[in-house]
Amino acid sequence: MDYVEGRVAARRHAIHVGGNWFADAPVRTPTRLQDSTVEVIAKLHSIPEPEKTFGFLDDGWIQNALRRNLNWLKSGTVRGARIGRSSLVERGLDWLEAHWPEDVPPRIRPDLGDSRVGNVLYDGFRPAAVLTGKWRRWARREMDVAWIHLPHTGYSRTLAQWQECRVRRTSCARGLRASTPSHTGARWRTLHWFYVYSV
Amino acid sequence: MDHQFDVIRLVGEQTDVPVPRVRWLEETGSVLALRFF
Repeated sequence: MDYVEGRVAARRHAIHVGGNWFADAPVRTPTRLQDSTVEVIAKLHSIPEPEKTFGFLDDGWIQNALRRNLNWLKSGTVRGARIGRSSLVERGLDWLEAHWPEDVPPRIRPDLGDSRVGNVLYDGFRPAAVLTGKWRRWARREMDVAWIHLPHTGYSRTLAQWQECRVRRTSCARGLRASTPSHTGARWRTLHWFYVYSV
Repeated sequence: MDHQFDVIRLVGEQTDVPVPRVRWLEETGSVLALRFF
């Protein structure tokens, strides 16, 4: 693999707190980074016939990928060994079952995963290289959108409670929410389910 | 490893998303004792 010059953003909490190139950049530049990253996701989602193009990733679960994802979440590994039993988690899993998203075509494709901004190398604030090597499982495309929104929403809301929080940080989630449908066509009513899943 | 290689290659071929150029896949482990690309 060829070497690509670029820089990576700090991990998710640090990109909001400060002390790094993303957080300390001029006000509008992080927004450009967000938009260009969402645009990358939209382009990846636009690859035609992903079932054929990435057919070598098919392990027999393409059409039921979301069911498998949720089964994994509900598995003993996650509920037991990782975080232990939790009534909150159990209620969340029950809610996901009860609100299974059947209102839109599945549009299954390789899942970029939870890497989001952290899986992109930037030249300034534009993507210089995207590492798609984590594409190993299949998911509905809303999964990627939810993953990139969720940390921004959570952290910007938290930081908004602090007086020193700057406007661009609180507008981060709003900006993403505004730009994502135009790039990806994702529907917000459905995305809510994926937010809960991602949490 | 071969899946990662092919995914990056296909994304580079089918979109203008910037991805690192992948050249070879070394699967034997005889060079670095690990597979790499």
